[in-house]
Amino acid sequence: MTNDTFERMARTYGDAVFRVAYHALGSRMDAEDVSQTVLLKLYQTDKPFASDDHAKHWLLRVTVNECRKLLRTPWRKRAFPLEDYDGPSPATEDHSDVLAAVMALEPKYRVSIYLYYYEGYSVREVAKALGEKESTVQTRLARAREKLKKTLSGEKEAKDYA
Amino acid sequence: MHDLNNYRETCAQLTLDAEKLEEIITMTENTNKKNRFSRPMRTVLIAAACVAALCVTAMAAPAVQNLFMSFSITLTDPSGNAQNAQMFVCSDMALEKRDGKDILTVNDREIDVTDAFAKDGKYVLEEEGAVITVHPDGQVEVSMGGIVYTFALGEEVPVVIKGIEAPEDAETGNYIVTDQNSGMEISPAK
Repeated sequence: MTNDTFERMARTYGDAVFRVAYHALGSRMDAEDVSQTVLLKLYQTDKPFASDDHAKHWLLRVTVNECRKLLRTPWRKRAFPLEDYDGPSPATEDHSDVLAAVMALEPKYRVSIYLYYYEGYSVREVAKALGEKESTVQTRLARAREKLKKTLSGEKEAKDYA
Repeated sequence: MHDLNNYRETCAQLTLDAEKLEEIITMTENTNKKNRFSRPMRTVLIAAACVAALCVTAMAAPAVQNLFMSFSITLTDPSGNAQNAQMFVCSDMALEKRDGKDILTVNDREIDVTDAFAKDGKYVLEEEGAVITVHPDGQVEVSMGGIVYTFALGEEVPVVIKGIEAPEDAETGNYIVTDQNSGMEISPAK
């Protein structure tokens, strides 16, 4: 990959890589670190990409793997109990209600939601990016939607009451 | 989903810091393509079983690879006695159960080793010039450069030191191993 091609792809897909990492990790700093690792892997790879879409899928897949790797590290495990983590996200940034509600979901739901609703990927594509079965992704999306419905309905009621 | 447009609009505002992006691009422009970033940002925090009161004073040129780091170190005690040792670090392998299958992750590749475990009781692969044998309990043997390193995948980043005998009062020390292009440095973790 030439420097020009790399620069173009980094500028085009850097934000998408960052968003996936942010959804997976819930921390801007960690997401930036992972983004750097992923983009450097892109620079180093000899993999021929058939199209920009192919490159984007590869980038998102590598991002998911890098996030998993980070979540597996012993020091991270002590801080966040991996995908079984059942509490709210540590993110404290000022989000819209919906994004805040998404980030409050368990990490395993967040990336599925992002890829499906923001990137517009099909269930099959999300499953491929995450290395999961399509049925697993469908279940996660359904559960995430249910949880979001409860959370956001509750917030709306609270606001209306206030 | 509730208020999908709101979610998309807010997500669109989540962007990689422009300075960070420029920094990454500049890093790649100012360097050779291969091996310069053999371990980008890889500061490996290790819990190395080191002999108390010994300090790491020197090391030979390391064999820096993607999956393994193997390098020579010299440990010197306060009396000036030196011992040579071989240190091996492997931080990019993992074995996990997923949907009832045993999945081995090596160099970003996920390998379903369920059948090999069932049939042979182990999975053997060659990677980066090393022969790696993985057992279902997470025990791993890596045969590399005539030395066999044995470690367990799991809670710790695997670090093996060969060639020294730790005394009974040995302590565990935390060290940071930093890959610096052609060299490697070890410093106490803060």
